[in-house]
Amino acid sequence: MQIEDKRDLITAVAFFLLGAVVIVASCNIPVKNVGGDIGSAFLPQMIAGIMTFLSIILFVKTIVRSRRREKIKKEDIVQEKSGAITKKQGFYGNKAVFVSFINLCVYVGLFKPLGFIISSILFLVLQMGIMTEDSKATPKKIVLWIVLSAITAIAVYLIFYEVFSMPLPMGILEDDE
Amino acid sequence: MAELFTVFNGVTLSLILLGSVVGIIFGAIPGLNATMAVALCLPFTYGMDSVNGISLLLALYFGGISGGLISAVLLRIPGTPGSLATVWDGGKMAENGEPGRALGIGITYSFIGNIFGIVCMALIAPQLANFASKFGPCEYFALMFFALTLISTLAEGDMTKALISGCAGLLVAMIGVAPMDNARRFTFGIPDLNNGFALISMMIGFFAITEVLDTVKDKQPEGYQKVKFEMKGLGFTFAEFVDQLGNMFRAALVGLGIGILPGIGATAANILAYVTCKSTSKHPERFGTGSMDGIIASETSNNACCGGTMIPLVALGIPGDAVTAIVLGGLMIHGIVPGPQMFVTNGDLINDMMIACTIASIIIFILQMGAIHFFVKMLYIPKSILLSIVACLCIVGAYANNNRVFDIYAVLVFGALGFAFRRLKIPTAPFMLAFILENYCETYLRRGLATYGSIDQFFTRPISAIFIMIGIGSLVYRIYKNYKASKTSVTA
Repeated sequence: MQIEDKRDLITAVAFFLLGAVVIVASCNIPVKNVGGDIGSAFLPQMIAGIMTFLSIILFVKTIVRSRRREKIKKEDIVQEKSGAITKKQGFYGNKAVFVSFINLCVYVGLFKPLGFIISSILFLVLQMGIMTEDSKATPKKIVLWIVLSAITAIAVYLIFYEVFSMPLPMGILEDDE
Repeated sequence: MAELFTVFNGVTLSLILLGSVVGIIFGAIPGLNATMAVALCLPFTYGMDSVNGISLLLALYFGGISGGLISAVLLRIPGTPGSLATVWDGGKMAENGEPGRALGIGITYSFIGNIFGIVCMALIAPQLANFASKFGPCEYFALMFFALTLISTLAEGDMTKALISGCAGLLVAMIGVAPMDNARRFTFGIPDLNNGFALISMMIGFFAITEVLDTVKDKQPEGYQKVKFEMKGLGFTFAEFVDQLGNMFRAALVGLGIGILPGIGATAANILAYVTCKSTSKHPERFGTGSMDGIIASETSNNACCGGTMIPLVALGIPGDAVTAIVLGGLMIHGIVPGPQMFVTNGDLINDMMIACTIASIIIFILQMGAIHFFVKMLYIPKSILLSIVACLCIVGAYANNNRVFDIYAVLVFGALGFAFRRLKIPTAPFMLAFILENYCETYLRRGLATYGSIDQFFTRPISAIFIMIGIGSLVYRIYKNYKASKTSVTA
C-alpha cells in the first residue's frame, strides 16, 4: 500500500470516528424549538452524518484504488519523499516537531504562572536552539539567543503596557503590593 | 472644494499619516488587527474635532486591512484575518523567489480595491444601502449557503477530502452557545468553550504554528537564500494588468457586495472573492501556485470591502463589520448620528470622510511601496530567529485579543490540527471557509425558519432562490466533474 493510500485511510477512519462521536454527543443537546426552528442539535447531526458518509466513501475509494494499483503492479511507484529538501542539517524530522510542540505547550502553560517576560525568554531561547541551522549551540550563539529573546520579550511587554495600555501577565515578577 | 480644505490641513494630514502607519503595523503583525487598532485609538479622538477624529480612525482601518498582506506574503501567516487568502498565492510567489513582485501586486491591488470601494461609496451609497436593506434572513442564508458550496472549488485533488475538511470546519465552529436558543453544544462543561473558538486562534494555529512545525520538520538552509530582489515598476506589466481586469472587477464586486451587507466583513469577503474568482476563472489551475490571479482576488476584495462596509454605516447607520461598529461609536461621540438623514444634516462630513479615505489609501500605497525593499530584507533574518519571534508574537496576539489564556490553548490545538492536515494532505482552505461561515449560515437559517415558520420562503423569495439554486447546481457540477476526472485518471 502506498503512503498516499495509508494517509487517506487514516483520514477516513479518523473523520468517521469524529462524525460518530459528534452524532452521539448531539443527542445531549437540549431541544428548544421556536416557531419553525430546527433546534440546535439538527445541524451538527446532519453535518456529522454527511461527514461520516463521506469518510466511508473515502475509505472505499482508497481500498479500491489501492487494489487496482496492486493489480497493475506499477514498477515506477513514486515513493513519498520530501524531495524538495536540498540539504537537511542538524535536528529535524518528527523528533524536532515533537520537541517544538512540547516547547510551545510548556510556553503556553507557563504564560500566566511565570509571566509573559520570563516564559517568552525561555521559549524563544529554546525554540531558536531547536530551529537553528546546524543545531550546534556554541556559547556565542547562546548569548545571541538570550539577548534577542530578552529584547523581544521586554519590548513587546512595554509596547503592550505603555502604548496599548494592555498589561500582559507578569507572573512571578508581579508586585504583590 | 471647501471639503478639500477641511481635510487638507497639517493636523488632519498628520493624523491620517499616523493612522496609516499604525494601521499598517497592526495589520502586519499576526494577532493584531484593524479592529484592535481602531478600538485602542478611539479614546485619543475624544478631544479632537469630528473631521480629525474620524480621519484618524478611517486611516487606521484602511491601514490595518492593507498591512495584513505583508506577513501573508513574507511569512505565509496572514497579518489580519482579511488577508487569509493572500497566503495561498502571495506566500507561494514569495517562496518561488519573487517576494517583491508578490508585495508589489498585493499593495497595488489593495490600493485599487480601496479606491473602488470609496468611489462606490461616493456615487451610489444610498442605492446600494437600499439594496442591502432588502436582504432578510433568507437572502443572507442563501448567500452564505452559496459561499459554502464553493468549498468544492478549494479542493486540491480529492474532492471527498475537501468536503470532509469543510464538514470538520462546520462542526468545530458549532462548539459553544448555539444561535437562537443559546443551547450549549459540545462544551463538555468547560466554561471557556461557551463562546467557541476565536477566529484569531484558528488562524494563528493553522498558519503560524503549522509553519513553525513544518519548518522544523523539513529543516532547510536558513532564510530564503535564493531571493533576488529584482522588481520593475509595480511588479507587473501593463499587459498583465489588462489581462487581469476581469479578475480584478470580480474580486472588487464581491468585496463591495459583502461589505455592504451588515455584519459580515473583510475576512469572509476575502475568502469568498478568492473562491469566486477561482471558480469563474479561465485558468483556475493557476490559483494556489503563486499566481498574481490569487493575490489580486484576495487583496482587491478585502480593500473594496472597506469602502463597502462604510456604505450601510453612512446610509443606514448600520455598521458593516466590527471595525465600522467602532467607527460608528466614534461618530456618535462627536454627536453625529449616521443614517439616511446624515446626507442632509452632515453631507459635508460624508465628503470629508471620503476624502480622508482616499488620502489614507494614497499614503498607505506610497508607504508600502517605498518600504518593499525593507520588508523583503526581513527574509534575510535566519528562519530560526524570525519564526521563533513570530510564534511568540502570535501567542501574545491571540492572548491580547480577549485577554484569555484559553485562546492560546486553542492556538496549540489548531496548530496541531493544521500540522496533521498538512501531513495527511487534507486541504485546509475548506476547513477555514466553513469555520468562518458557519455561524452566519446557521444564524440566518434558523432566524428565517423562526420568522417564517417554514422553509418555503427560502425558495420563493427571488434573491434567496437564485443563490440556493446556483449553489446546489455548482456543487453537483463540481462533484460530477471531479468524479469524471478521477475515473479518467484511474483508467489512464
